Amino acid sequence: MKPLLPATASHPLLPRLARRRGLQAYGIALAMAALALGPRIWIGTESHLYYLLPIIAVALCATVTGRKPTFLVLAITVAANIRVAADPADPPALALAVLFGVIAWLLAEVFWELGAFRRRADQLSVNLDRRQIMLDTILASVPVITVNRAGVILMLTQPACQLFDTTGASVGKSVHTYIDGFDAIEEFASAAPNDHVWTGRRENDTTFPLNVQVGVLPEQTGGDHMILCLTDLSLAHAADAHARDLHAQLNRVWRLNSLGEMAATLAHELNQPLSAATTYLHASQVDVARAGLMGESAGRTIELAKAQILRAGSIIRRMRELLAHQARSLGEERVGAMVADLAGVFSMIERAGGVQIEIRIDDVHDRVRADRIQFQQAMVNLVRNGVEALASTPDPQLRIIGRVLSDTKFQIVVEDNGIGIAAEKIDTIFRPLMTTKAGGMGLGLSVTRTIVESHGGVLQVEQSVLGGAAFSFCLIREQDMEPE
Amino acid sequence: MTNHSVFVVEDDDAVRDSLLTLLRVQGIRARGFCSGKDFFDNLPDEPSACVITDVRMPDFDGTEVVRRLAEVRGLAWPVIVITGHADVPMVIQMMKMGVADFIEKPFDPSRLVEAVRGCIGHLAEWEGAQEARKAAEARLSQLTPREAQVFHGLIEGKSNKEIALDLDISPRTVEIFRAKVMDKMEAPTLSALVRMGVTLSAG
Repeated sequence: MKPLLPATASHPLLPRLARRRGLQAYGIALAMAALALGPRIWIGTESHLYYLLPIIAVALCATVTGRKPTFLVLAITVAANIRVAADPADPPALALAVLFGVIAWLLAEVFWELGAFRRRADQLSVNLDRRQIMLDTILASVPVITVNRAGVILMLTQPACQLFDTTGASVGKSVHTYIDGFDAIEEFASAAPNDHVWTGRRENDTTFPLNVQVGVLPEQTGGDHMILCLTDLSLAHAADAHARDLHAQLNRVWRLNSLGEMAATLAHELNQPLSAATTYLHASQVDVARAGLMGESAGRTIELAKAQILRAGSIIRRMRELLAHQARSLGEERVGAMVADLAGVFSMIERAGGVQIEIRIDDVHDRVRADRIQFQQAMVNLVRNGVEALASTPDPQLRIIGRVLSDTKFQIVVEDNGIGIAAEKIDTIFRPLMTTKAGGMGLGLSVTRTIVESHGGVLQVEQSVLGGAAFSFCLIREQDMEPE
Repeated sequence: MTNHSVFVVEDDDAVRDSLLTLLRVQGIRARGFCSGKDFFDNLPDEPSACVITDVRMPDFDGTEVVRRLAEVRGLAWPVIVITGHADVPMVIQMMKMGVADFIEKPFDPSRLVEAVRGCIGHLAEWEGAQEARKAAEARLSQLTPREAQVFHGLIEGKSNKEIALDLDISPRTVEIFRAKVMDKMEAPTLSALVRMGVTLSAG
């Protein structure tokens, strides 16, 4: 394991000697043996310093190498001493050699043991440093408060100060100043999962949602009895609020769209008989006119009837214009962002339908001209439709694809591996008030088609590569302004 | 009153029938088709006619009818579009495709009759012009190369002398050719001849 820091020396007075291994260790052993034997041979047999220098050599060798090189020094020096001594069979010489061997080996063992302790101590200090750094890093980014049992603040981390918009001066105040009605002991004792939302209070008296995790230290460890780890929930709450807002907005747009679609359908259906009626009346007027004076009065009456039918037509037209043609302004939007915005809505659909929605959108060249909320409405309609078609499919799959089709077109595909659409129904599925679903109004696809058409596209349906239906349409690309 | 037919393409039986009744009462020959497919499957082979079509129909819609008709019949078959839901982009698209008129349902029938009469009137004019052009072309083909050169010089507004200079012949000879050209082209005056030239170059 690599230490996070350069290991700090635990014994500043002694330089650290690294333990050598392999050939280098044997080299050191030979050098030590030579250093010990050189003066011995030079002084000659008269000296009584037989084993003094070799003991030092063995000890030094043991501090920097392992057992084998040390044994080599021992063996060489013993052999040399016996060889150099006048009579090798001389008992005192042999006894001295054995004695030297035992003492030198014991000494070496002591050195090795010391070395092992040193290494363990170094390792511990490295671990300790690492832990300290980790703790410092965490405390620098997490709001933490320590309080005593009376609820008096003993310490705040920098993020905690920022969270409450205060300074270190708040040490000594009650924790209730910052967290309304907070009781740490009770909070710690409660067995329920800790998801209570507290109200945090800043110095300037503004409030925000807050989650608190409590750790209680045992009595004997000192004054810091409780450690409160705080989480600011305002961002999470804002995201939730955004998802709810979008959902409400989509619902409103849906109601308007479906009303518009109903009006358009009604207008279309009524316009046909009204057109026929006026045309018949006009034809009969021509016939009646041939009767001369006799038909003049009848002709006038027919003219009045015709005017009333035309009036009915203009009422329908006005209603349709009111509902369906609220100015749809297309602005520059990014497909990736518009779809990402729907994540909350999609996850609701996913949960309800038990389907995982896969999103694959080229979010680099995805600038298009679109009405954001209308586009999102169309996407939600198509996805919801797909999920409903997957109700009885094992291993359901639903995929949203967004890709550049040409310089001017960006294609969106929503496809699934569900039951698909029967060939004979393909013509009728977009028609309003036609539905294959028991509870449906038959407006979903027809509203979606109207939205797509208002974006200058055509909603198409075909067999998906996944096996079910694939609905696709194109948006008009906003040319990339920035250089590629 | 006219020998042009009107073809009505409309999926709604009542609307189609009422339109046919209306047109026939006005003395216009009319025939109905219940869809774009029906129309093209039984496409009449009249050289020119007027077409009235709805926009939203099963199989292919009015836009498609206009597009295909422009391909196979061109200017000889003007189209009047009637629709229940007109929006601005649709009208623009239709106008770009060259439809003769665009009428929103429910319509005032006299407005439709007017549009049909307008179309037929244009057709008659257009056909007259086509015939005059054909006749002029036939006469032009009877001219000898030298006569044709003199003819082109004349309709460009050149004098006898200029033509003589251009063609390197004497003004007297030009005068003889000119008399022959006027005779063969059946033009009583020089201005009639120039008009003929304009008709020919218009095509």
